[in-house]
Amino acid sequence: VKALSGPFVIAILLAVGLLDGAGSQEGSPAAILARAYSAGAKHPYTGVGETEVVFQGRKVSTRVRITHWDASREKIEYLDGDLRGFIVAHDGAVHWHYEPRTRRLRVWEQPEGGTAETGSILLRNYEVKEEGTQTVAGRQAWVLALRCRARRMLAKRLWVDRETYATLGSEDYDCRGLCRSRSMMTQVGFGEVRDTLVAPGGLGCTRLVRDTSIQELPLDQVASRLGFLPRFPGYVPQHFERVGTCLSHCPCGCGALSAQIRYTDGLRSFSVFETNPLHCRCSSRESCARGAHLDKATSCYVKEYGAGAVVSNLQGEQTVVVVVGDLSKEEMIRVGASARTSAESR
Amino acid sequence: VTIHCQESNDLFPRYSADDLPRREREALRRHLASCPGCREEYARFQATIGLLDSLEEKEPPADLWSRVEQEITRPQKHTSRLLRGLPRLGWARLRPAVAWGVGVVAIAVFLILAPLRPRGGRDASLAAATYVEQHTALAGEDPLADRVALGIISRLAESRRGD
Repeated sequence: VKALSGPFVIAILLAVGLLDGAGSQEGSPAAILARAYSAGAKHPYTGVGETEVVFQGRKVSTRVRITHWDASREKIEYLDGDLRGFIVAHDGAVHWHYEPRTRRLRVWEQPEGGTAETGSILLRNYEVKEEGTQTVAGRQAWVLALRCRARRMLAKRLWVDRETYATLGSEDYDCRGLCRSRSMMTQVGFGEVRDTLVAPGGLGCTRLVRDTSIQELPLDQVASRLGFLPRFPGYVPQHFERVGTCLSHCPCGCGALSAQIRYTDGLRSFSVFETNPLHCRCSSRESCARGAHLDKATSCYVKEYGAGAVVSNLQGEQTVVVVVGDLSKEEMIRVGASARTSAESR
Repeated sequence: VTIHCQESNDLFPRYSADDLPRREREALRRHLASCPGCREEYARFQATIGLLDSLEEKEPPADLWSRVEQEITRPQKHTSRLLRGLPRLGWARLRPAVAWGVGVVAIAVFLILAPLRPRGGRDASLAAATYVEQHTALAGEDPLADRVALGIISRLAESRRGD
């Protein structure tokens, strides 16, 4: 599915993009975007970049070394401060994080598919405009701005290499229009990558594997494996579409299974996790003092990590619902509460 | 010195009594400042201490010890049948059985009460960080995602576990 979905999406994006840019030698901004979408598969590179993220209200900056083999294999090594030595990598079917201080390797098995619909959803919801060219890491790059069609707000800016269509920089904006992260290459070299992608191991290295193995199972099969019937949220913010449902072990480590339902509007995404509280007791029963006041039967917990990760945790009598992603606190609570309500009203 | 949630609870009594070395005291103070769960736990601890402190201290009667002594030295005239049997069975023999009995009752009480214990914000926060990791792991699959930024969020959320 994954092998077929990529070319399929690219074909759609290119068709739209080329139609948009008929008569132009290099194509329209949408065509550039379409090529950028697929560039990861074609051009291996190594580079050094700088990233700035707003995390819980403060700016965190770091340099990174990126080794990129293809669309499914990439390693990001963090070089500065508290993040020094931390590694994030995609290695085909798995995604892993290595924390040098604790020598802990956390591995997530990636579900198949996932990108099949995001390209077309992106073009439905966002308008792409070219803002000119700039030099990034010594290379000429197009600057593309993606604006939400409905609210005309800037959501993302991309710096796309004119030769290879690789992304050399990006800026992400939150739903209030504030820049929440900025990554920019400072050095880059395209061509064969000699490094090998091997996850750290050996004595003292803890390997924790998260099994997120199943994409879009029929609901009855999901239910039989979970031990309860998950429900999709009754409320989903406008323009977001469901793109996948995975089963995974409950992230708290209790061993229970939880359902992860994923939504995207093409750029922003959020996940709704549902777990049976009889199997897992990692949720909060505290009062709603820290979050919004809902009905009496609901307890909730809201945590803002910034940069597209706000967690809302709600627990009812039958389900624990956790919402994580690129939404405002209020939207998170609304989504979570609607899933809880629909799950319990059956 | 860095203090984690589990250790912090153990240090509450000494912290409350101002009996901690300066570095540990500072570390715990910093942890409490950044961890709502532990702050709440410490507030509960202090409330309990406050409750105990508020109890009126009562002086024992002046003749308490003399009466205790009299009771000990008085001949045992009205000992019950059960207690009379104790010396024959031997306390040393009974002691393991009594210890086992108390242990079993304590475990039973714990098993009954543990599920009823309210789960605090700290538990939710622990889970929240891992949910963020799991979400960002999949969000990074998007070809246009800023995977460097997602990695930072994931790592920082993980390092703020217990906040």
